Amino acid sequence: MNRRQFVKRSLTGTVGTMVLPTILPAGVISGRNRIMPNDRINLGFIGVGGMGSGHLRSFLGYDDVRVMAICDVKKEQRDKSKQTVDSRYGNNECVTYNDYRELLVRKDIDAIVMAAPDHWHALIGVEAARQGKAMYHEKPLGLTVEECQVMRKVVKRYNTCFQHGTQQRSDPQFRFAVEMVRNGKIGNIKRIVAEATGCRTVPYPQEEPVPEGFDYNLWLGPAPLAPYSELRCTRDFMHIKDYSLGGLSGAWGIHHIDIVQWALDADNSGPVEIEGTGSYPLEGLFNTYHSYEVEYKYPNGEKLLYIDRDTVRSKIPQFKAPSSMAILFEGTEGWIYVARGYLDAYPKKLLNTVIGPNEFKLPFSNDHRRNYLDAVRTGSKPISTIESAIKSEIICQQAYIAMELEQKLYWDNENEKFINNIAANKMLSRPMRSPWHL
Amino acid sequence: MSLTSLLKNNTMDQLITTSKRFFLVSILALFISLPGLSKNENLPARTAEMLGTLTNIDRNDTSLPEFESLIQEIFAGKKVQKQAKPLLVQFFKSEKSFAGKRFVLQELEKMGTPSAVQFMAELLTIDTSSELALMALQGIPGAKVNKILRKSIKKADPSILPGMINALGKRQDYRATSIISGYINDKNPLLATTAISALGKIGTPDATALLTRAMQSGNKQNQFIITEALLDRAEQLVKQNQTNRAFEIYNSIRAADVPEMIAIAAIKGKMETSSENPADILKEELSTSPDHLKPGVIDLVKNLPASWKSGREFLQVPGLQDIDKSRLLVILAERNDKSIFDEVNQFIHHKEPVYRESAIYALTKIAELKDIPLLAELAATRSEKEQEIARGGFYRLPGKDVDAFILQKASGTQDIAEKTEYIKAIGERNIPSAAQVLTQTARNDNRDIRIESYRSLAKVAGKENLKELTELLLAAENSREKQELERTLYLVSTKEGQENAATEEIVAFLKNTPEKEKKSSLISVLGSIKKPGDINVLQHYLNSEDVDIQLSAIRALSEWPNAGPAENFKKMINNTDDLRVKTLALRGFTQVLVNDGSYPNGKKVNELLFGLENAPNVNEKKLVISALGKVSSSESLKALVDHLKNPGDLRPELEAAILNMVPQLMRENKNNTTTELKRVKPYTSNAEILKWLNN
Repeated sequence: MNRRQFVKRSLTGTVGTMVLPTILPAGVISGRNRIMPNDRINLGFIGVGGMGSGHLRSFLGYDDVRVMAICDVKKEQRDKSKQTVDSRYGNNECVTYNDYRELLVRKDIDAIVMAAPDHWHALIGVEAARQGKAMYHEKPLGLTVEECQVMRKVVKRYNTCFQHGTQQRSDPQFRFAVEMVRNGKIGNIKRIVAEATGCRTVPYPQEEPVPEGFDYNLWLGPAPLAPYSELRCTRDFMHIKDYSLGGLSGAWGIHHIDIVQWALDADNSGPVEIEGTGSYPLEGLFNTYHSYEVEYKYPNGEKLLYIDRDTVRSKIPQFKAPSSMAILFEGTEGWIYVARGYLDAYPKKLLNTVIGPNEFKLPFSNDHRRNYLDAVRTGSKPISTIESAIKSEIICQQAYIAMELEQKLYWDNENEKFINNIAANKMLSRPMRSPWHL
Repeated sequence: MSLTSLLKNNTMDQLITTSKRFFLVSILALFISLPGLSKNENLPARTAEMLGTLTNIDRNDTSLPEFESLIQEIFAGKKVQKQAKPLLVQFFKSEKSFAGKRFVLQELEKMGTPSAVQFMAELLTIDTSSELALMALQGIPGAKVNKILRKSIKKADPSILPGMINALGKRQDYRATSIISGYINDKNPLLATTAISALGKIGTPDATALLTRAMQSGNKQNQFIITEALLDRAEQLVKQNQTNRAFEIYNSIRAADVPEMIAIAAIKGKMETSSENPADILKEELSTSPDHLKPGVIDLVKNLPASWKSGREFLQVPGLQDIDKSRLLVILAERNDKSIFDEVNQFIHHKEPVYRESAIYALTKIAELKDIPLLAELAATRSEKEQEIARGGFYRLPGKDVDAFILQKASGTQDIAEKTEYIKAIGERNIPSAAQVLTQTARNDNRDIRIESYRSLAKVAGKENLKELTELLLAAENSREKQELERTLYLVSTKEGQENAATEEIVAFLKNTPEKEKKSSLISVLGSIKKPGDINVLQHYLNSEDVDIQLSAIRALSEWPNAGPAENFKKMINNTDDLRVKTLALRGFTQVLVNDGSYPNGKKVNELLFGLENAPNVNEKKLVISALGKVSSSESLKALVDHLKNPGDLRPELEAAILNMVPQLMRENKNNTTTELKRVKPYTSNAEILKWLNN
């Protein structure tokens, strides 16, 4: 197939799959199910690469779920996942799909776990909400602020059971750190420093033939057409701006930004001033930000410094967690430093603090997936809400836009727009490749 | 040969090579034949050079400021510079670089001049570039682009027609209503649905009327997308505070035969825009909706105003199944609606475990002081999952009166299981001044109650309780309780940090107690606390005449964070005849040296070699070699390499230790490390070591 044929194909979808992007005729619209006491929750998985296959193995460990279907544009990946599912259940019943829309119209599927590449998150999420599915939606919520806003609109419109994949909200150490901050145990917040990953440089690869069994056109979906190479379509997609903001957001950063927001009780708010600089590899395939330092100011004056790993570890001595990015909360009476599997504080006695019920307590979850499944079954509220998802992602986007424009930006939290800045506001959305749209 | 025939007859790989040649020849030919050459000799040449470069760039974000300037020059006026245009058209017609095309288009998008917009519009007709051109055009605001899009819609490359319709919708170009409406019944479902969706976004009265008629015409095929477009319009009206008009739309959608999710959204819209009480709307829906809609309707309770707390009315709606009631209980309880207490209490005893769990969860959300005994009973008697849920509520229910009640129950309740739950709750709730109650319950006849008391004391006790805690430890009758109390003592002593640990009481008891088992226990606690000032106390017991106390002191000092005890360990290794003492002292000696990051490497290696020489058997030698492997230094590597010349039974351990440090040493000093490794080459066949040498 040549490029021209390739372009043409984007109108009609791929052979053997459905034709319509994002919209389906009424006859194939699904809906919401009653899950009876002895019923298992029927799950569908969309995207079973690195992240998705990890989720799959974990969810298979719960006795009250049944994985019914797997969707991935890579045949090898979906077949491998089907094998995992079938061997767990001792049958051959897991159905595989190339196109997520075919999975979503199945009435017998109650809930999904979505872990596709970032540029697909909003499109798949929107369709899942329209089909009445509960969703465990990997971060980020969308590739742009506008995509996130559409996600919020449909999730609210259809009252979707939504869990964002910011699982640190179900981690006791992060909950402890946040409760310490919220209860003033380190005094008033002077500064918060959040650390995230950078990017690396790889040579721009030669164009390669698209392998058999890989629907590259559907993988690209709304993203601009680009020559195929294997590296582009691995987990490293997250280092390419057309598909992700990299370490700033989905590749790690949003996890900690989400915790910062939680600590500041800002799930419905966020910073109002943003200023920062950064750099990204100037050559090669990867082009997301590698080193960056972005300063934010919240309406109440709290300051957040968002910074890449290499830079922060050369500047701030507390940053020494061995295998995880971290957050430092600095207060007038001490500090708390938290990472995955790592907690430190000054004075040390803060680590022995027990937050009792007569102080501020956060909702309790020690298992993000279980928290989601309980919400699907019982109607309870999941811990990582759509509001938290959008406000956290906005902060990641603000960093990206401030660095791209090399400008100090001012944000209007109510209208979710930059103040008096046409160029910055333009960057709140990206056009999608025809015919994809939200 | 034309480009089209090339495209038809060549595979992708052939195409790239052949068309590159063809493209360069074409550019050159055009450059030679340009009529404007004499007028502006420079521009075509510069344009050709730019496009030649852009053909080969990998990334559209490449920094090429000279080309940005050139593009600005070409598109500065009302019309594109005619000397450059044919070259650009040729470039966009080619199969060449996506990145190069994106580079040009992003510059045109930034400029947004009439000539740039016009040129981009022309590209909409070129199938090799139309998609990219449309994406770039969408980034330019303003009515001019709307007009261009409207005008181009008929002649654009058909593959981007859905994208163009969507772009007009998203830009809310009301002038496009009639054009777009021409597609809503198109036989291509993609065009029809995109057009319907676009009309919803445009949202003018005309567009809304069209959609309403389409909905009422019973267009089953596109019913979802039609009604969803109307929902878009209604939501726009809500934002504009036109709630009455929005309500009309929601009401008409609800009255029509629409898909389930649309019906749910319409009910939600009615609740938000009606002058009626939203709870009444919901109750009516719960009574009259078909069964398949009920789960969605129940979930809408979450959207009721927070002040509305009469959820029991929903539970009394006839015809609800238990599954519906169970879900309602959870949702209402999360709203802290206490009107549902009786129903929650009923469901706590339901025969289905899932409903019981939901009901207990609901109870934890609405519980008050009076419900504490019930929570305690559930925590004490139910299945593991139900216990866990009940405890969660028990521990998190706020109120100082709750604390007082729990303390009273912890002392007074006779039921062992419930008493244990109250004691647990004291710790989990960190109830201040509860230590007195707990030191009493810690003397209860029942072992479970005593152990739970120790655990809670670890959380709530302070240094003022250390004397009593130490007495409890000394009085403990079995190893399990001793272990628990040692842990409690450690946790309470170190509440102010390790440096400031409160160990005075423990040391005093240690000096005064004559019984060696009790001494050993206290030595163990001091060893786990590791207060720097207590090293002398512990070292004193290394010289005890009682070998059991001596061994306890060795164990206590073996995990010391620095080499402080090393010299004493060394003396013991040299002087003792007791194999147990020698073995444990050697292990402690090795461990504290490894633990000490500031101890000089050269000295550390010498000490470890002393340990190796004095190790009483092969197994202990292996442990010392493993420790040498953790000291990544040239001295350590040299020592290991020396031993490998005559390894005896220790070859695998020596090789493993070498490999453990080689990666780091190679990074730090490749030359020296390689030189050292070369010495070992004649004495090893270990593939990994040889691989390092070959690299």
